[in-house]
Amino acid sequence: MKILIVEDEQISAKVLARAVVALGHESIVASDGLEALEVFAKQQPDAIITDWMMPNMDGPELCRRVRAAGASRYTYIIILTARGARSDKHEAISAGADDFLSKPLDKEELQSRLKVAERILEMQVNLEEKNAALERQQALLTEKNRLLERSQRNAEVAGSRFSQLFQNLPVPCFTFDSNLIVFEINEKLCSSFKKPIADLIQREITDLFGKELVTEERVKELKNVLQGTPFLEQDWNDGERYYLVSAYPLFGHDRVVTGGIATAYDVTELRKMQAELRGANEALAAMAVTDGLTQIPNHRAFQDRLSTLIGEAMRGRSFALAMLDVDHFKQFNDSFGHQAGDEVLMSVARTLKENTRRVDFAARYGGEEFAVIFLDVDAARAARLAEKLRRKISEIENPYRPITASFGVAMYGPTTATEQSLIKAADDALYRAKDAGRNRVEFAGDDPAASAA
Amino acid sequence: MSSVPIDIEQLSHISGDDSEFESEILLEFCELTADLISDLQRAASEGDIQTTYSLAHTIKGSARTIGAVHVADVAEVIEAGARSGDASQFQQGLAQLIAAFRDVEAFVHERCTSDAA
Repeated sequence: MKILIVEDEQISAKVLARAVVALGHESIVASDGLEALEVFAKQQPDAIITDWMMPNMDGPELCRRVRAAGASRYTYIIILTARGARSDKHEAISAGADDFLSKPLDKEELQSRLKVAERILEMQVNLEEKNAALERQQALLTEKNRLLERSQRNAEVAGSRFSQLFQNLPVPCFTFDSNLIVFEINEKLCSSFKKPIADLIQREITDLFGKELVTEERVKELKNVLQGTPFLEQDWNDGERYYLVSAYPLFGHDRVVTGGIATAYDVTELRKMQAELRGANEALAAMAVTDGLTQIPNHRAFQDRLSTLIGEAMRGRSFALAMLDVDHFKQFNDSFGHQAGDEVLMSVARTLKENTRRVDFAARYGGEEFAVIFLDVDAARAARLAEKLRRKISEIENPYRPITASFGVAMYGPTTATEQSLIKAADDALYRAKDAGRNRVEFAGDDPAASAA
Repeated sequence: MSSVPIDIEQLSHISGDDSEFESEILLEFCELTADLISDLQRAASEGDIQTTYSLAHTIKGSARTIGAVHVADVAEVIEAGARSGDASQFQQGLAQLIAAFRDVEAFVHERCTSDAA
């Protein structure tokens, strides 16, 4: 250590300096307090050993001045006290002294005091180093905190911006966590539930939407989202409610999926309207091919059917066409009114419908004329089927007078291979039936077997 | 008064049995103390109690350091008197101090010359 000895009495100063050097230290001697302060400022000693009683400035005052000078590092101060003299040690300690050394000099005591001084200064140095390290750490921590606060602030701003965006999106959405618990719901989706948000969040998706809607299959799809695979516009419905659902994974740090965000359009109204529209369209389509009065297929439906069958017959299918006409219908209308006439047409249509096979086809051809197609039949069978219809019509109970119809039947064949020729053949047979007295079946061409049947 | 004016043990303690340093310090003590005593005599005769006190304190300090026990004791009596403002004992004290110092001087003279021889 570099030790400043402050002693106005030369002999003691000399002896002390020599003892200090003998213990391996460096000594500087000052003969009074003012000189000591000068040396202190210039040489920055590690320790000061000062006499207590000195002219001008005593030891405790020197302590105070040294401490007040505020050196960059700690200076250990020992005050010399006369053995047996009653000195105010408390005053010296308050002034800044660290220890005492008695006079006259005891070299062992000096050695011990300096050892203590060394130890304390060393601790002081360690402490200063630790403090410096601590301060550096503190500074680092402060910087880190500052960065953290900034990023938190940024996150908050981003969070609130995202939250506003999310809440005000014109698309109904919700987010869910890795346990498929609904985490957030935006206002758009919330309004479709007509419940407060608090009742909707923190519930399992299956619980919120119902197991009928979120089936096990759909839970699997959602779990796939958590694996990073989105899905787009799936139709989720439980027969009552319809949602168009898309879901995308949400990533946290390090691209780890933390949950998902889903859009769920409530398309219940749309789907209902679509269903209604489909029904209406079907009805409209049915109306286009149905006769308004008799509710059996109309002329147009008959033409379609016939042209289809001719196509099929060219591949080897056989069929017959019967044209029939209600006998004396004009007369009936004139006598009993159109409403009665209409009822006749309806009852004939009903009879045709009820007495034809499932594969056959009965339609209103126009006016009081009807057409029936018998499928997969030969001439004899067609004649029997037509004859049965004729009989059933004649059995219709009518309040005004009996109803009968005349039939003309033609087989599809080489000479009747078009719609026109087939219809004409049947029609010709029908006129023959009428000419022959009505209420009978006539067969096209000269097929006496069939006509006789 | 003891036959030996210096506490040899204290002396060799501070000198570390270095006879050269011992001689140096003893001779320096004699020289300085002789001057201090004449200063003390003047101050005491002038009734300058503060200076008397200060000089007595210094003489006491160095005397104790080298083990000049009698000189130190007498100087301490003077110092105590000066501190309490009692000048009545100064003359008697001074006489004792001078006598004690003469003993030391004689001792030093003998020791240093005999050592040198």
